[in-house]
Amino acid sequence: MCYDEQIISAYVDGELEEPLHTEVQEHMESCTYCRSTQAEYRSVKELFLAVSKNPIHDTIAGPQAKARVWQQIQRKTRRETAHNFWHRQIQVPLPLAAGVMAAVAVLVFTLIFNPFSSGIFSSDKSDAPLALRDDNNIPEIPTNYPASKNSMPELEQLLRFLSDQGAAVEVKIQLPSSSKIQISGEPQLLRAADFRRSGE
Amino acid sequence: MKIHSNDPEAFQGIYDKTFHIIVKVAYHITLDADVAEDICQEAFIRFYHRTVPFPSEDQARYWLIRVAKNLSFNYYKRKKRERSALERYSYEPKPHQHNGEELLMRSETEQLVHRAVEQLPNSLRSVIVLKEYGNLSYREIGRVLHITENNVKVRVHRARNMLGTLLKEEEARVL
Amino acid sequence: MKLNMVFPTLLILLGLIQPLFSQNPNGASSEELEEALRYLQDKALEVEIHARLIGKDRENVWNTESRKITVSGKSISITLQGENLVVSAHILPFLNEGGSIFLVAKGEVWVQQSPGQEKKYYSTVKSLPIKPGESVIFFPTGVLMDTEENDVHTIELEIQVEPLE
Repeated sequence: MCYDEQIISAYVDGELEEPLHTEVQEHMESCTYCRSTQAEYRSVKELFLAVSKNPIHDTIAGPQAKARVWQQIQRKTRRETAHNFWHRQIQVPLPLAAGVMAAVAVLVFTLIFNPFSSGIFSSDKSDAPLALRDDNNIPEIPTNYPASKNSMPELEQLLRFLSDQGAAVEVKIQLPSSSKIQISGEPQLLRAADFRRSGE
Repeated sequence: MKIHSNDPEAFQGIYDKTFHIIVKVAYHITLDADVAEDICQEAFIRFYHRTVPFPSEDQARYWLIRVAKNLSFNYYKRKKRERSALERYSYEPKPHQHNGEELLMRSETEQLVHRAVEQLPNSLRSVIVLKEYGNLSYREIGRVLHITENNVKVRVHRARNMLGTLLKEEEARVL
Repeated sequence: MKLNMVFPTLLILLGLIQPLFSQNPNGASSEELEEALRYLQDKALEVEIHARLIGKDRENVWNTESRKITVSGKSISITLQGENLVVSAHILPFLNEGGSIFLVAKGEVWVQQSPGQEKKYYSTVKSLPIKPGESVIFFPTGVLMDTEENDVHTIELEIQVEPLE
């Protein structure tokens, strides 16, 4: 009984497990047909081997090429890490308690507006109401900004108006139906570079 | 052991172990040593930029090989388009743009094999390059290409059959 | 390409604010509208979001990208709808005086682990100062952990914010 060509091809690659490997080997001893198939596949393999033996391949994958490529990689990646000036990361860890969440959200926003006393946003006080919806206790991110006394009333109104509209843009995406999402631990917001550096 | 591409030691380790296969795979698909080096560089730089760590060294290697393979095929496709565009607008077909020195160094056998492999469909070309030049096992090839081991076996077999025919044709042409 | 996006967006925004100006008894002057337009342009930001599903092999299983224009202080909401969960990420950029950006990201997850089980809700707010064009990644469902389970994925949102030219 002769073996399928696919099996002979896998045999030639040494990819057959026992006991099939030995069985095929023994079969080869007595079957000229299978032996000739094997010889055909072997000769193709040998051509590739001959090509690999060509000295040019020593150069292509040789130490000089290796060092050269390594230097280029170092050069290009070094330039990028030098650009990261910021190392601080403000994280607001939040338990699910809605009340605490609301308080911390206010804290975040007053922190944001502190440096901008000259701009349209002042840090004096936030008259932003933090609406806590009844369902799921989801607090809103405050979107009303306090008025500054210096700026033009029309522009200020404009900003308020725009902010009142809620989110500027909504994107809705349908995930592939077979996807199984893992919910693992705390959501994270990280700089791509910091994420790499911080590790886990 | 998790592999973080930005961990210098791990990065160098992967580079040392994987450079030769990456550059060889790239070379045998693009048939250009300079381009192969560029692709190798690009693959490792992308690896550096990856933000999600790899669960193991092997996974990192398979990822790198896959990236290099894809970049190589993209380059090859682009060059083919450029070449056929040139051929369309010129009166004579342009020869494969190779580094001259390289061409001289390549044996006739090599040119024969390259021409035959070039004619394989990409799916078969990938497996045969990874098998014969990369010396990867069927299992490893499956991991790189995200196909089953059995699929790899089938493709290698088909590639060999096609190559058998193509090589005979090429030989007849040369002789 | 960016200029083409700015003009219609600003027109829409102007359309939104026009009623506001008509409340002014004197009517909106062209200078005021121009001023408003210029102000909007200064505060306009382009947000690029790559949403990805990352699989166990660290493979990019699925991805989509989106480029939206907003103004400083106005959020962009991305809602990803899956079979048993909904993930909403609200990206809120602020443009600082010096040109740097402060990013606030709020993630909301509604999930029903299996039919019949109760629906769970998770929410968190994170913030980060970033540079224009700098890449940040938001993991609204956390970072992918090693697990015995096959075919689990995690959601990754890679975000870049830049002032509109």
